[in-house]
Amino acid sequence: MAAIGEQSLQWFAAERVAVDKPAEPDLPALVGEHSALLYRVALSVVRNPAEAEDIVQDAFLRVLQRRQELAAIVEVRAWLVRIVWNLALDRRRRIRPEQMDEAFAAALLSSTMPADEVLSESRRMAQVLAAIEHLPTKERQALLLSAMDELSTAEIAAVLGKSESGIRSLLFRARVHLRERLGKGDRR
Amino acid sequence: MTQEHDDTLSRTLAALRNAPPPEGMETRIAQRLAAHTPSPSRWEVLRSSLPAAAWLRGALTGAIVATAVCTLVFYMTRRLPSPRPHQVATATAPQAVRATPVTLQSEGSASPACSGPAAHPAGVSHASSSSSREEREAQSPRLIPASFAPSRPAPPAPLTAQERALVEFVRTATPAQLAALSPAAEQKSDAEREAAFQKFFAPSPELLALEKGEEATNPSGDSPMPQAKELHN
Repeated sequence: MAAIGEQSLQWFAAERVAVDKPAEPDLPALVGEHSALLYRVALSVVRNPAEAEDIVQDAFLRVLQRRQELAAIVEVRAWLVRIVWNLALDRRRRIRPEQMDEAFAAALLSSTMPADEVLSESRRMAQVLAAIEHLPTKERQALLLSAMDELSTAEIAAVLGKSESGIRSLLFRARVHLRERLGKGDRR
Repeated sequence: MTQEHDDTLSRTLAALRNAPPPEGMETRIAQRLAAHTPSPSRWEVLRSSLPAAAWLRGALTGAIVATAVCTLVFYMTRRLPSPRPHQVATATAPQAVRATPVTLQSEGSASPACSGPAAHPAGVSHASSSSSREEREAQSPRLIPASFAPSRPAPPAPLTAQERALVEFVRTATPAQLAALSPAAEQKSDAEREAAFQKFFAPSPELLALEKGEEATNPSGDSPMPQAKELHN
């Protein structure tokens, strides 16, 4: 786990631009600005609110340990997302998010839907989440990151280490595979 | 059907996108960060105490480094003088110099400090060619302690031809010959020799009287003893 943040830091440090060094960012300001996005990124992977919040806290702790190098990072948001993304993937190996898909979907919908519609909608959403789980890894990751409106294609490409055209291709194939899989589920 | 699946997928992704963070998450993160904030290290304290201007910090650092380098060079030059030539010679080929001092001296212009193989006498060249390891050791920093050692007397200077003849004479001459070397004895001997000469060749009073009588009788006549007269003159 310790290597995850280090890899991310090295990867982003290699891409830094040789410009005047900016002032060291304020860490509380970073928390206020990016914590919500980071939480959603972690939640899309682990599908557990408590785990997602814990991941965000761990990510900011890593940032705190390397705050001297933070000034050299140009794309701070993409760098933070990458740290959270790697931490979430690592945490995901210890939990089974598909077991709580229905409850998770119900929790997501409860704030926006009436209670009688939540049950049926949460079942459909659980099917979609299960289909997403069966996608190839890269397609799944590109699809989940694309769900975050704040992230551009370039930032998703930076997080996943792909080109922008590669990300577009992955998203297209992911949607095609999802349609096929959901269609098969309806026929059964 | 496909449209329905697309709508369901869009709704699911929108639900993920719009998931609200738990209340108070930022506060909890801030508290955890505050609990883990390390105290500033000494280096950070030092950095913060330095002037903010980059050029001033650079100048200050350069001045400190230059002072340190100058101090180091000053002490190095004062504490490590270059080894003297005779010390180098003693360290490089001490056995050769001790074994054949006369050979070294007889070579004349070849100084013991000369390090080139062509300039070395036979003994030194033998010592240097016998083991290159000794040369390497001699050129190694082992010489530095030798340079701190107390000074030794210089090796004896070469003897001149007169001095060598004197040494040979002292070894082979008799005591009487040796005694004759004394200036006082030599003066005394010269005086005795002169006295004996004068005594032998000087005219006697009778002869002088006879000469005077003959001169009175024969003023232009020859001397009856021309040899004595000439010798007397």
